[in-house]
Amino acid sequence: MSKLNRFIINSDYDSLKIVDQISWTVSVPSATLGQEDGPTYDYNFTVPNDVYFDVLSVKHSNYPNSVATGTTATFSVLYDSGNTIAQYEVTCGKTSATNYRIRVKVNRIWGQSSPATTTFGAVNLTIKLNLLVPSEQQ
Amino acid sequence: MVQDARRFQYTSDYPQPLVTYRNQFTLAPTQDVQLFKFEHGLPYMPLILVKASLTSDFAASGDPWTGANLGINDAMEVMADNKYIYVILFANENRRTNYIRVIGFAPPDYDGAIATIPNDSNFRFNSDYNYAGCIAGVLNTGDSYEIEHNLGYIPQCRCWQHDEITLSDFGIDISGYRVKQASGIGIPINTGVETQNNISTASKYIIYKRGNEDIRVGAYKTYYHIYTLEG
Repeated sequence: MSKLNRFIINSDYDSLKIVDQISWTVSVPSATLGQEDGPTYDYNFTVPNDVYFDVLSVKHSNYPNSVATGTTATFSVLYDSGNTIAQYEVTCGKTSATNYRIRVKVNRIWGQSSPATTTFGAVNLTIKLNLLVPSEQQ
Repeated sequence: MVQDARRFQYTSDYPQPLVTYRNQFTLAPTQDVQLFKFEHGLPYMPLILVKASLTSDFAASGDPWTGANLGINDAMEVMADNKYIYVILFANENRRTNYIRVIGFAPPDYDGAIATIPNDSNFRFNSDYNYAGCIAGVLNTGDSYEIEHNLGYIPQCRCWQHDEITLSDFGIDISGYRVKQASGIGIPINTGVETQNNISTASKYIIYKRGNEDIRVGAYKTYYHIYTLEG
C-alpha cells in the first residue's frame, strides 16, 4: 500500500508502537535439588529495525492462570514454606544491530539442609515478547 | 461493547501511553562507582524506561540491569525524581563509557499540560504499526495489592515503584522511582503457593506481592501500566 494512503493519527504526541511480537516455548528438563545456579537457554532472532523497548511475559506450564510480566520477568515458585525456590529469570536485549536475544536462566535454590522438595519436574515456559518503538535516528 | 480488547489497538476506551520525554546521555566515568545527575526539566516525575549500551549506536543494548548480566553494558541503577534523572554507574576499574537512552511517561495522576517533543524520530503514529492500549494507574502503597482489570485475558504490564538509595559516599539521598526490576512471578492465585516481590496477572486481577526485602517506612506509590497485550 502506498504511503500516501496511510493516515497519521494524532501527530502531536509520541507513543509506543509494536514493531514485532515474539512467542517462544522453552522446555526446561527436570533436575534434582542441588542445581543452585542453573543452566541458561537462549532464543536468538533478527529484527528488521533497531528496536528500542520491550515488555515481556512468561507463563509456567503448571500454572496456566498466571504470568510473570514486566521489563524483565521472573517466574518463581516457592516450595517448603518458602525455603526452596525455583526461579526462571527471563531477560532480553540486543546483541548487535540486527540480532536480539531472549535468555532464560534457571535457578533452583534451597535454604535449609533437609528440604522436602528434592526433585524439580520438567516444565515448559512460554515467553511472549513485544518489541516497541523503533530507535531514534542517529 | 468491546468483547475482546485485543481487537482494538486504538480506541478511546484504552488511551495510549504517551511518550513525554526523550533523551540520550553519555556516561564517562572517572571513578569506579560514580553518580550522574541530569535535569529533565519536567513539571512532574517521569516514569522512565531505559536502554543502556557500551556503544553510541546502541548496536548491542539492553535494560540497564539485565544488560549488565548479559555483558551488554556496565551495571548501573537509574532512577528519576521530580527534577533529575540519576544514574549510578558501577564501572569499576575498567571505567568504560556507557550510553543510555531514556523515554518517560507522565504519571497518570498528573493533571497539568504535557508539552510535545520534537518529531525527529520515528515515534509518531502511523498505520504501519499496531499500538497497545494502556490502563494506567497509581496506588498509594508499595505493599502487596490487587487490581481488577477485567480484560478477560492475562495482560502484560509494568510497574514503577518508589525506591530510596542512600549514597553516603556522594553525600546524597535519592528518593525516586524506577521500574521494578524484580517484576514477574506469576503466582497461582488459588493454590496457596506464595511468592516474593512479584507481579502476577490473571484474566481478572493483577496481583503484586511484596517480597521480604527491607520494609520501608512511609507512604509509597506504585504506578502501573496494564497493556492490552496478551501475556
